[in-house]
Amino acid sequence: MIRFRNRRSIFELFFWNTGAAQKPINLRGIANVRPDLIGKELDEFLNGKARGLSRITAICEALPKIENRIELTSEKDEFGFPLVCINHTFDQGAVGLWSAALDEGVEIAKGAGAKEIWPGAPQHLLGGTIMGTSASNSVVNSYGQTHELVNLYVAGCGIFPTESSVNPTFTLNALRCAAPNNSQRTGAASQVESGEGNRPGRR
Amino acid sequence: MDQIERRAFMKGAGLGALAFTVGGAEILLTPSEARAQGVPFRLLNANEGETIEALGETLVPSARKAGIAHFIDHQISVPAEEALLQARIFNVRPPFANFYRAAIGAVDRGSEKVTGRKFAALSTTDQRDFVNNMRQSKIEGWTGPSGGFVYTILRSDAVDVVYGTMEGYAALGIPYQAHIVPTKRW
Repeated sequence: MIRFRNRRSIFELFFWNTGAAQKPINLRGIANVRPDLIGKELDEFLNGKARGLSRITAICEALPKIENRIELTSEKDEFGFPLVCINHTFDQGAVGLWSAALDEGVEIAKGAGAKEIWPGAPQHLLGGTIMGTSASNSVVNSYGQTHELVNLYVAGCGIFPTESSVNPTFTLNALRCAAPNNSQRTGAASQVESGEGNRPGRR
Repeated sequence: MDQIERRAFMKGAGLGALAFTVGGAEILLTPSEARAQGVPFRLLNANEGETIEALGETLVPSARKAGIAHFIDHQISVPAEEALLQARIFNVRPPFANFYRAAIGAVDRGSEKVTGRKFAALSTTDQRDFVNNMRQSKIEGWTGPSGGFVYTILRSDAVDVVYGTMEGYAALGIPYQAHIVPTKRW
């Protein structure tokens, strides 16, 4: 179900993802519904809730912010390359959308008869090596080719300027296919760096 | 890891068993069985193993008996790309042994600063208080990886060892629906 927070705008959308299978383990597992619990309390929580628990997830759009960026730091890795620092904050619109989605999610859960509700935290940032028209406003062009190095392509989620209201898996695949095609067209040797999830690309 | 060991490891991973060295031979054991048989650690020393077991037991009851120290010791000894550790998901930089050693050192140094004793020597109540403060990064004089991050990684490992098995699922009364079903229970 896709919802519009502001019907006058094509932005500020969110999408409900419901009924996902859940395991007790892993990042989005049942044990991490209450990451603060340990010991006997965690054991009681898992034994008491595992059979009656469901998760609903709001995937919220956010608009690009020029202030969100990746910077090189003075710290070096074991190969002598500088490490990166991620600077990211949500703007008021994104926070408002998330709050509205949370309120609606709580309403839905209560309507379904939930006895207890545990809100989660935002995940999955995109960006870092974003697509644009020049090096002054972005890192790569529409093919994922870096503006400053013609033989370097980026084909991960880093080229999206921000997160959308749906997971961009298929778009990402299309872009991944476009990168080597363009490389062949232009004759440039390419190094394709691929990735998924919330791993901003490195320059 | 040569091809034979790799095959054994991959097969074992499906069953929840891992390839441990016993008497010079590689055999498949669950971490719990490895602990019960006193299989020597590959990389951890005894003190490090003791701290991991005490931390694991504080985080998730039965983690010690389930073999959390043997699980982590084994997993930090295999190639990083084959490790089953949550550290991979959290983008911990390999080799993972470095992170675990730094985490264990931070816990014991923090415990000694606060109580004068290593973590494993604390009472159950003090261990629990220490871990709760570590989660909130409230240990005075803490050095090393952030307390909250150490908590998250070690808690995930303990949950994996205790609940991430067919028996763990059965104990919770939920179906074990693996994409590739193991050929037998363990």
